[in-house]
Amino acid sequence: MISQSVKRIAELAPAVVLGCFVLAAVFPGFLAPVSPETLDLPYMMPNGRHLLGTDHIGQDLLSELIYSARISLSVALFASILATSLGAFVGTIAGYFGGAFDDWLMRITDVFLLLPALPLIILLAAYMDSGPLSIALVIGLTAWPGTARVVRTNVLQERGKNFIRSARAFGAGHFYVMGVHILPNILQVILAKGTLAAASAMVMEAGVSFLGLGDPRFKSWGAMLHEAFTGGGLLNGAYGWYLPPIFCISVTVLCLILMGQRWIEPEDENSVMIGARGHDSLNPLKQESASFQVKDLSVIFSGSDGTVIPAIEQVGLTVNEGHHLAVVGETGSGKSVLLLSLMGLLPKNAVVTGEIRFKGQDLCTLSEKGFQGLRGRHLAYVPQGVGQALNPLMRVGAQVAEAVRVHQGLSRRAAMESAVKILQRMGIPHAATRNREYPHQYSGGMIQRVLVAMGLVTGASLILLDEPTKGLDPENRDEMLHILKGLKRKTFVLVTHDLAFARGVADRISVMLNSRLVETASVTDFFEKPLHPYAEALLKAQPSHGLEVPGLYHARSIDPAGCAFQARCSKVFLKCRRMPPMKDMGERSVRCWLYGA
Amino acid sequence: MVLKTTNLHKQFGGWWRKERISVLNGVGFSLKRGETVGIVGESGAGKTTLALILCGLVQPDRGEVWFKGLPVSARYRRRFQRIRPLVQIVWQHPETAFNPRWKLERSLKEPLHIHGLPVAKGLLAEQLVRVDLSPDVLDRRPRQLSGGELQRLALARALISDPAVIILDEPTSMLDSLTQARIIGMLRDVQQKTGVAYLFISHDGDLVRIFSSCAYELHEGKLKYLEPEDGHCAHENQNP
Repeated sequence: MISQSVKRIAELAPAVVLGCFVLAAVFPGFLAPVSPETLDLPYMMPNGRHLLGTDHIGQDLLSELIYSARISLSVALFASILATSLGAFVGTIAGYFGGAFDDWLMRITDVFLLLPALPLIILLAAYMDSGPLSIALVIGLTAWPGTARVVRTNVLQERGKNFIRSARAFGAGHFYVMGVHILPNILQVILAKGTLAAASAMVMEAGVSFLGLGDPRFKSWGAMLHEAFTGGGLLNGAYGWYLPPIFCISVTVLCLILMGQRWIEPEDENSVMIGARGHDSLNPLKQESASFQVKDLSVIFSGSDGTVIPAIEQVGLTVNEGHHLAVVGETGSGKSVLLLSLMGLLPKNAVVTGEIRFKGQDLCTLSEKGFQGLRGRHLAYVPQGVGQALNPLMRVGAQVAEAVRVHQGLSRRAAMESAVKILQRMGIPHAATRNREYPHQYSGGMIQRVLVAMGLVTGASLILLDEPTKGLDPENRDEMLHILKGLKRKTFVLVTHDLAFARGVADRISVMLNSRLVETASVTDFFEKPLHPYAEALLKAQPSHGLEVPGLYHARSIDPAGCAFQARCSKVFLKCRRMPPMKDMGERSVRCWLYGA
Repeated sequence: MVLKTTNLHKQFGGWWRKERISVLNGVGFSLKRGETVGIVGESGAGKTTLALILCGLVQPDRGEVWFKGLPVSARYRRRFQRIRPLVQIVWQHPETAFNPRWKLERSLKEPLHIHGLPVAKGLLAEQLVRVDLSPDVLDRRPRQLSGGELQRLALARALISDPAVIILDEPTSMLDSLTQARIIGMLRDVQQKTGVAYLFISHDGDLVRIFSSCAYELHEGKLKYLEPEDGHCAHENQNP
């Protein structure tokens, strides 16, 4: 794979270049052709003896460049370490302890953030000792607030997570929690900020030295530029004097920034292609007017270590215009992946085979561009997870209005008015005033309704909902039920584990078990008499049906060649060791040997 | 009486904000060995705040938590540190219950590590059998497991320090009915074998009724008695 190795080289290049610079700075004697004390004729043009020529007192410029790397790089390093550790410390303390601590520390941070760094450094350098150490100190002391704020935000996010609370509940001390749980989890952010801080410190130092404020005994690249300008380098056309430092500064800063970005980017998943899977004809497609049909859909995830995990296998579905399908099943059965594959939002390492017919197109072969044309206009997705789905920094009304504006082309004001109306219809109390609130001021149920609203304003005909009631209390759940029931004309596919909710909203139910569909039936048929033993077990396990668990609940390993329910099924027999086909029984279909083959 | 609370009050809102929100307004109940008390409430009713107070992460404004006759709320820091391993909690969101960077073995051992206790050989395996998981999950990271598996591991971790009380803060609201039923069954088994007491917090009234021996509703910061109708734990658990 040529493209991959090119990518790998591109990723490594900044680190390698920086490494060379650092080596040159640490061991200048090896690389520099002559020691900086040796003097030759001044203003020599580049020649064989002096590759970059000599300066106004006859020093070799290449040696000078190499020796100057020391000061430039160490100022950047020291300032970045200082700024990052100070910023990380303040940010962690403020974010972790919160309350008054947070308030005071953040106000102090704001004050420091407002200090104009460059004028301050110039001022201090003019009045104080202007050695590289004090310059680094001043840069470090003015650069930490940015890091502190970013770290604080990340700590705030981590702090609310349950594993932190659990550790506290076991009796872990604050510093244990900060050091063992929080810092390692936000280390990437800190490292990224650190590298970026080094880049900006480098630029800052070069600026200060270029202005001639640095100590002339400790020459940096910026100081070389200063000398080139004051010593007549420009007039004499000694480009070997001023171009190389500029080049070195630019390359170092570029490399630092590239490395900083690498820290922020998520870990890359290698994609491995897998050949098309064998087809066996399941679920003949009956209705002609179907609003979408899924045929033999398989989705396989390939891990970076070569493991292959099937997420969906041979799924066949038909959903007609205006129908509501609920897909139910255990966690990890592949329900959410099904929705993501309909939206074309699967991660890069997923391999999709089969067919999804929608609006005369096969979504499995559709490009990302093609999906962008469909998403929003014809397909809308309501994500699960009320916590992260809305932008926390935007007012709720504005977010809905934005969706309206994008999809209906209204003016800003008209969009806001229609957003308020939509929120009202979604049962948000005092929508006219609460639309100016931020997501954190909304309850989980309200956010979930806002998400549905945003899915609806797009005017899409097919709406995919992922667990619209997960974690909601009964009252909010009923509200959601009411809203979805009122939308008769839209086509829905919703994934849920809440059977009572599915019963209220859907007209057809599909049961998913271990990446396959095992039963599809109309709601009345399904709840009256589920055919597949697994579906039956799901119904009986509801609290309102006595919380019954079928048979033993011992987790035996699932035999991939046979029925996934055989270990838990009370009606298991020999044939179950083979995978039953999906049997079509008129209005419903079931994947179980009990119903013949 | 293993765990008892008397007249708990908690308000939120800082000194610079005008309005203070009263979350708990005189909550009192008690929990006996081997008993399950259920608390139902809407979201925002203060159920999680109550759980946080009981495991010492939040200090109540007024009122006290009693563990085996000793006052232990977060203001008695020393004493609480000692009983901490004995009052454990299982959270609503299993997917954030474990440090995502750690292998689960390290997470499971963490409570022992924090208290400087030795990890007995076979202890982890024994805990895993209890929650019906195979030992190879120890070598995985949280995102490789399903919500149901993680929740069972969370239970295993709570059990590792042999607690007297486990607070279950909506442990199954994110799970499907079958997984929920399995976990409830598991909780019952554990209770029979170890005599641990549960405080079961949920918004599913049916589930609370089936699982707990007596149930309250948390409404406007107060507990309202719900179940059972004959009220065998009513007289001792009434609010003062």
